[in-house]
Amino acid sequence: MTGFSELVAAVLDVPAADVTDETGPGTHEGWSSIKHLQLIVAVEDNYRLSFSRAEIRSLRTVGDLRKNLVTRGILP
Amino acid sequence: MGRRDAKASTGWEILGAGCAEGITLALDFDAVGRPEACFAELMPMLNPVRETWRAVQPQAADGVAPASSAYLEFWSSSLRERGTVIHAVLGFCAGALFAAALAERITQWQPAAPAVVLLDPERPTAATLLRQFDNAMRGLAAVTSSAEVAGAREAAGRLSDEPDLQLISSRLTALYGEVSKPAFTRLGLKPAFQDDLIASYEQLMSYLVAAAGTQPAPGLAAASTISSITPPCQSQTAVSWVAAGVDHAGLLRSPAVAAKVSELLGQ
Repeated sequence: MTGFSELVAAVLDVPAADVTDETGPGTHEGWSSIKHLQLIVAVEDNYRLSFSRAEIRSLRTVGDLRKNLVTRGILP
Repeated sequence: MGRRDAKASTGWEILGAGCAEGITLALDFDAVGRPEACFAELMPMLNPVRETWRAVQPQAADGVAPASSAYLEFWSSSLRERGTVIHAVLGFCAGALFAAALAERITQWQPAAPAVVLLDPERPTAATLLRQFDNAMRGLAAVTSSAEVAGAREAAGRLSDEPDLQLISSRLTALYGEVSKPAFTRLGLKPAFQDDLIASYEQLMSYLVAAAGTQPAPGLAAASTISSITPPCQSQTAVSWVAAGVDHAGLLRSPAVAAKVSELLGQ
C-alpha cells in the first residue's frame, strides 16, 4: 500500500514533500475537477474503501481527505 | 433544521453554524472539484460568524429545466413559510443575480431588508456557457483522446452565434455526456456517480440559463459589489470594491474579501 502523501503526490505529479494539508484548488495550479476525481479513485483503490457522493462533494483539500481517513481509523 | 430534511424539502442546506442573530444565505453553484473557491471557505472567516444556508438546486420537472422564477420560488417559499429572519444574502458569479432577486422577494415579508453582497456578479451569456464547457473539456483532456475533445470543442464552437441559451444548454449537456461518460468509466468512477456528475453538469447549465433570465432587481442599487481583478465585473450597485490582487477563482478564499464582507454586513 502506498503512503498517503506519496499517493497524492503521484496523482498530482508533484514531489511528496510539496504535498500539505492545504494542497487543493487554491494552492495547486494543476488541480482540476478531473484531478480531484482521480485523487478520490486513487485513495479508494489504495485503501480499499468507498466514499459516498456527499463525502466526495465535501472533500476539497488534501487535509479534508486526510481527516476523513483519520476518522475512519485508516491514518493515525 | 436537519441537514438532510433541509436539502430534501426547503431548497437550503446548512453550510455552517454561527452565534450571531439572523441567517446568511449563500447563492452559488458548487460543482465537485471546481477550481473556484466556495462559500464554505469564506464563511468561517467572517466576523461575526452567522449560521449560513447554501442554496441547493431544484430538480427539473419532467426533464424541463426550471425557469428563473421557479428557482426563486423554490428558494423563497420555505423562508416565507417559516418566517426565517434573513440577515444577508450573498451571491457569487451568476448566483449574484439570484441573490439580488431573492433579497427583493424577502423584503415582501420581512420588514428589515437583508444586506446584499454580490461577489463577481456576472449575467451569463452564450459565451459563459461555452467557457464553462471549454473548462470542462480542458479537465477531461487528461483522460480523453485529443480527437474527441477537439471534436466536442468544434461542435460547441458552432453554437457561439446561437441566441437561444436554452438550446445551447441542451446541446452542450449532450456533448458533455458523450465525452465524459467514457472518460469517467476509464477513471474507474462508479456508474451511479458518473450519472450524478453528468446530471450536475446539466443542472449547472440550467442554473446559468435561469440566472440569465432573472429581471434586474429594483433594490439592486442598495447592494454592494466585491469584484476580483478578473473581468468581467458587472457592477450596478451603490458600493463597489475591487479586491486587489485577487482573481475570480480565489475571491471566496481571500481574507481581505472576508474582512470587506464582514464590514459591509456590519453596517
